[in-house]
Amino acid sequence: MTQLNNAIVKKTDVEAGPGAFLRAPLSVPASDISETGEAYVLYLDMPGVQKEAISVTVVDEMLVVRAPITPIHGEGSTILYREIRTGAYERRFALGEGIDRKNVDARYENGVLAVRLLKTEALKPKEIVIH
Amino acid sequence: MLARIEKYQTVDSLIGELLGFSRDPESISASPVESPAEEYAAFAPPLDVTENKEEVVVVAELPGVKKEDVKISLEKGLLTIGGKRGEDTLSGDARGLLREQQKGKFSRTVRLPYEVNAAGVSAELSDGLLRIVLPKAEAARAHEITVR
Repeated sequence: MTQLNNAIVKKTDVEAGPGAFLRAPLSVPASDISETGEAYVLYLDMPGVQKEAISVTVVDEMLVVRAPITPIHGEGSTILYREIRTGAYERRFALGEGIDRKNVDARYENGVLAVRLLKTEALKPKEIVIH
Repeated sequence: MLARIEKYQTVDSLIGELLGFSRDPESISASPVESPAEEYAAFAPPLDVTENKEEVVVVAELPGVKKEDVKISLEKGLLTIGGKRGEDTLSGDARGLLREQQKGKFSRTVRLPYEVNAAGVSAELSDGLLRIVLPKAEAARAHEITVR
């Protein structure tokens, strides 16, 4: 497990350069998961990130989602009260058998990231014909 | 703080009250008998309050909330953000495997640190963040005093 984590961190580090957000506190986005006959859809609450900065990767048996949280307060403003998270979002999901790792679709809308994982043929429900 | 336990109060609202979440002032005036479940919000969105020389800025996290489902009101120095988040992750024949997102009615009230010019307030909802900019009233602005 540790080895796997190290591999991911190294990979992201190379992609993002000496990215400061790797050292930033990580927040786990609240998530819903829905299942239909054809797919699993993961919905992650990630308000205030830039679409281009979201990374969704499948590494071995893990789906890894991460994104830096864009700072929301401009220069010259004084923070009086703070609850909104800073740093970055990250969440990992272990993928089971029967998920098509090549067909992952993700979209970001209204601060929610939706990741669709298609099931392979083996996992789709089958109608049994009665002879 | 002692919560007043009412006949129709839900567990959510009890917890909310014990944690000190503010109640929507509008729903307080509504009769609790007519719509008991509507009286309390299901959750209170997290928010930041900042100020600069001219403005007070309130930013609230509202992921998955549509613009038309947000209501903002300003009364006697209290800013209230209310509305609802619809159940949009379960549709048709979908089955829920994990349910962590907060759904339903939300409400949050903050006491503004300065008097503001209500006519100049603007709000924008983008990428799940609601940003409300409230210009400070003339009297609340910092003035430089020249020493003669």
